Amino acid sequence: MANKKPNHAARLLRITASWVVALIIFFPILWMVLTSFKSELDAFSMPPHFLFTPTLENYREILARANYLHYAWNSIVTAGGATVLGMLLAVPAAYAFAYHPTRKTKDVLLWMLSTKMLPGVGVLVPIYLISRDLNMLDSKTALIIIFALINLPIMVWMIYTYFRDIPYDILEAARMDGAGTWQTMFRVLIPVSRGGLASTALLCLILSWNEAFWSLNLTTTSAAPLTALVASFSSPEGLFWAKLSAVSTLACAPILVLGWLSQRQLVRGLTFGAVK
Amino acid sequence: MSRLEIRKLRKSFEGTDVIKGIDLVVEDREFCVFLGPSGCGKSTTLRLIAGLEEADEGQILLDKDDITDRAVDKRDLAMVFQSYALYPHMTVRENMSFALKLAGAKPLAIDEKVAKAAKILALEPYLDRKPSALSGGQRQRVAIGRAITREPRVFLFDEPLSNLDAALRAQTRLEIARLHQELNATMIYVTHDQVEAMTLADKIAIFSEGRIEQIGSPLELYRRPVNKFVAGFLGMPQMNFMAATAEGGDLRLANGNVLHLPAQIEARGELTLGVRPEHLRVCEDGNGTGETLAGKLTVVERLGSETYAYVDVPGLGTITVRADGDFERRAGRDICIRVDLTHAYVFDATGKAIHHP
Repeated sequence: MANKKPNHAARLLRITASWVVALIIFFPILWMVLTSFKSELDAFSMPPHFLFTPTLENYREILARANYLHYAWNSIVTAGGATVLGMLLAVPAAYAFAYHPTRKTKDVLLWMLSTKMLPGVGVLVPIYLISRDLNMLDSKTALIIIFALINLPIMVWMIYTYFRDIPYDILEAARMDGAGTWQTMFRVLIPVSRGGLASTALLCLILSWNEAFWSLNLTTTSAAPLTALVASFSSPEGLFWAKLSAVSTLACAPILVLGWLSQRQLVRGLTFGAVK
Repeated sequence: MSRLEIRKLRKSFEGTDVIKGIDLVVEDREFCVFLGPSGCGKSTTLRLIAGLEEADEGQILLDKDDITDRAVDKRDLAMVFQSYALYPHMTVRENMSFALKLAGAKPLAIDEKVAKAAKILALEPYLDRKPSALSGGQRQRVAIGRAITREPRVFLFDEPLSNLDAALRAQTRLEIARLHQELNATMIYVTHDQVEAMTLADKIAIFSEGRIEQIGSPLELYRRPVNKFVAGFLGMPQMNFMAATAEGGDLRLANGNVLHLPAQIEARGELTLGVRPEHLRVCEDGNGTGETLAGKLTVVERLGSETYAYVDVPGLGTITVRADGDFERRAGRDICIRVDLTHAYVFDATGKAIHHP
């Protein structure tokens, strides 16, 4: 019984530490949401006010000034489309890498990942020119393709890792049972790895939703997603913290809710290979 | 009818020959065991039969059909994997009916076949569980059940018991033997465990380095091994090998003893005398010449029903003797052992058996 006490203290310490870390991570979001309900004057005050009279003025003004639903719809279409397209490309690629490796597979995987190290701005001009020549400036299709491609290396890598954790025997058993390649994929491989696939898809969705660089450079109005709307509030007339916070809250809200609902799946997926 | 014939089968991986020309016939309803050390090509041969690997050369015939290049799912074979390879997202019932569903069988027929297999394997209480909620032995039975429901022409088993603990292995071994009688089907079974091979097989094919060394019934292989490899691989503890040379039809051991075998030894050069531990006896009257060997008892393993005595004989190395369960001598003492020459084997320099009991 003597060792019970330190265990208890350690447990308490661990819980406290986790709460502190969680709060530090969560604080910016909380602050953004709080600020969105302040008046511009309160938002700027130093030291910052924790107690204030909440107002919906910022939200009212934003909704009056811009068509939120238009931008939100663009975000949904581009992020969702990029996720679907990315998965369609990444699953077969990862399947090939995981189950039919060649001597160069590792090199190809590394090369794919290395493209993530190239700063996006390095290819801005060529991609801008290509988009222009293809008549795809300010088009959702262009954003979908670009988002899918910039996330593809990570998606292939993640799915490749999940697939490699699935014993190949299972797929061979399916083949012996009479399943063709597609049946093996849809009736065995995908159901078995659905946790990993879901978290990969969710990650791609979040990354695409939050992507700002290409959205800002390749869209103006008709295809502009929420990130472009947020940026438009840091205007030349000055920073309007409260309004910026309000529009950011609106931009984050859908993905935050989605993340919250699927956090279990996400954590399971992200730690799938690690804790096995 | 399901008679399987393999003709001149060859396979190499990245330039390394793994299967170096195999010929084999497995008769209808026969239980054939592929036995050999790891890396000898027995599993690869099974995978070639299954179609999971493509043969470089040779033919695989199932009855009159050449299935060498036929797709895996068109061969009508079922395989039980070492890792069980159950579908983790499906229940036991779904695992067992998957193949039938893919084949487009009617739901009623599927239910009937699954129920029958579940009854044979005592899996009825577990049909709605996922594999993760089953023990190792139960999972193995599901894997076998998955094969049974398909009613394949040949069952293939790839080391199905090696993931089970010793007690369960013995029990499942019995079940497989019973299953073979009940289903009356052709079965091919890969293992490195000679006990499984000896107890289950109608016919054993002993593999070594991509070739079959010998094919025959268990006792045939045990009693008349064609070479030193087979003689050493079958039998627990292993057969004792002693270096020797021929001397006027007799055999001179490396320690100088001269043995007078029942038959004349015609061969010349380096020979090896092979004697199984059960054909050596501890003797009281030996003087260390002729068929008696003098040595020191180094280790004694008492198994209850029998005792293995390890004797260091100068010039010959360690000799294993199987003695009775009540063997009382202690390690460290001098001891004399007698070779039963009516049960001795002689192998020539290439390992070929040139004298059998």
